[in-house]
Amino acid sequence: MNRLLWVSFLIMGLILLGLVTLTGALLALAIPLLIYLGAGLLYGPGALKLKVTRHISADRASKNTPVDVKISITNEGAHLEEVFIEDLVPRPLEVLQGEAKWLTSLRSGATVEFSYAVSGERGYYRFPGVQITASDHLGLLRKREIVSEPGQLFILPEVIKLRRVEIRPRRTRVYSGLIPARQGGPGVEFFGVRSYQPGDPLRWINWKAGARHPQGLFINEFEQERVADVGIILDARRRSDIVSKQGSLFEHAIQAAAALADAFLSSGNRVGMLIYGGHLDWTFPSYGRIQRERILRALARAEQGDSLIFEGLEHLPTRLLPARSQLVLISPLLKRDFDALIRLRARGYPLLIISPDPIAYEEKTLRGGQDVELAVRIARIERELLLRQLRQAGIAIIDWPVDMPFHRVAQVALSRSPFWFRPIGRKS
Amino acid sequence: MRHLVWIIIGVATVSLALGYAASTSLVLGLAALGFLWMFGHGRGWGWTSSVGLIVFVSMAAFGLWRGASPLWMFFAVVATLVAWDLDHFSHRLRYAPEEAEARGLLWSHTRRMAAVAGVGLLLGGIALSAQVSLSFGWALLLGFLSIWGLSRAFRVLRQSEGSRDFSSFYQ
Repeated sequence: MNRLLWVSFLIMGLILLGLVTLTGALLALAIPLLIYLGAGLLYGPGALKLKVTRHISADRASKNTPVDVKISITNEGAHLEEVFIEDLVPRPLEVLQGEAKWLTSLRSGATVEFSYAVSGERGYYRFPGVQITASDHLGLLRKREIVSEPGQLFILPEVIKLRRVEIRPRRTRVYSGLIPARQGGPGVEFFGVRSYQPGDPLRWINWKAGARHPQGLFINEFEQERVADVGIILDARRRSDIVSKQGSLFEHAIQAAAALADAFLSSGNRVGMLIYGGHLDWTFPSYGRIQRERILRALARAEQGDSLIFEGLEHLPTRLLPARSQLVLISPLLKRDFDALIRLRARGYPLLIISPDPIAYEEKTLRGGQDVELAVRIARIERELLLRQLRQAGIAIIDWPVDMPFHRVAQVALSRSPFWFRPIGRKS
Repeated sequence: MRHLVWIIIGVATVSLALGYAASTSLVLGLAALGFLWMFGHGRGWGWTSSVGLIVFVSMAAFGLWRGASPLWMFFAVVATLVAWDLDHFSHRLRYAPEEAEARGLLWSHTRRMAAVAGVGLLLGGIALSAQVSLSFGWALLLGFLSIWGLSRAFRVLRQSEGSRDFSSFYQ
């Protein structure tokens, strides 16, 4: 209860009691309390006129890296006897060093500065303002104001560096890059032989073929390497996630998305990102470091959500994704997603699914027992069946037990051409 | 600061105990409550001070009604008020940034509280020694006026605080 109420109730009680019992001494007991209340009224703070500025040392940081926040408050009004300043630190940011709450007194025109350091988990944090409570020395009468001083901080997900990620989209862009374009021209890998055309470089002439067929000259062709459009789709549906004491499967998916986006962008590709959950968060495809930053910020903001519309993947807005571009879906996968994925494949999108294994993740949190073992077995069979059906439909799937670091999984599964792209009868 | 609060809680407890010297069980009960308040202050519990204030002032009123020494009871109320105030202030003072700042705040607060306690003691002492006879009508009118005045003052205080939520900090 408020301190003012305590004192007021006591005063009223003593006066009433004194009058009812006709005891004058009881009325006298109320006098110190009345004076205390009077002092509060007399020295109460006037109107608050404060200027607040906040400086955050960085607007982006990685997980658990301290970020300094500096607050400066200038009193442009009358003298404030006691001021309690509280910077409203968004949760779950943690104050590592210093204090976000300060008690001080502010003379007219005086400035007070304080700083503290925060760190936290991945996320997007908005600092709404600074709450200032001014009071007299006794702290009885107070005035409170939240001075708006917006600030923001992105705690970006950790980016694991991946070695070259091999993808073979059906369509590439015109700019040269690292992805084999299924077209002859300048490149590294042998692609085929064709008739010599005037202007072709002489060093590409296939002399052996020319010797066999004296009627003409032939030159070697190499497979062109170009950049491609890559669309990363992150499944942020709450129902596909598993949450345990160790954390959330979604956080692993975010880590994978960040690593893949970084790898694709580093190879010069045009990358877009769609976060599919309670709503759609679309990062328009683009190239380079700025796009990397955009994607990382989108991933920092990413939250799971529930939506009746986006409950299944059938409402995936394919028009956002360039036709026949490489799609990478990061999802634990639900049974009902099968049809939507098949339709996506039928539309000509080469699809790679990185699927954090929800069964292995949840199994660890469950206590052993026959029932649990049986349930895990059934769930695993169902998942294996779903993955097999998807593979049969030509979808590349990486089943990722999240115990294993993603870079290791990616190194094994993505660092060279997957077997489904290798020519039949040729040793890899 | 902690020691100062403990001493004043001790003073309030001893004053009440001296007033209740005839009743051993009540003295023991008051001592237990005093220790609970001290312990609560040491542990940073906010509720013990509020309970202490209500119980100590109620006990002082009860003591007066039972014919205990008005001087001790009055002194106990002033000491309780000071202890309660300093207990809350010490919680607030945790957020003072530097020792110099904290010392300055403590000095200003103590000065204000000493003035309030001094004036309270003086006026209370005068009130205890003065004898004024009032008729029932006057007493009724004074009672009504005091309660009306207090409720008005209380409303003004609440309005001036604004309509925002009350922070637990100042409670």
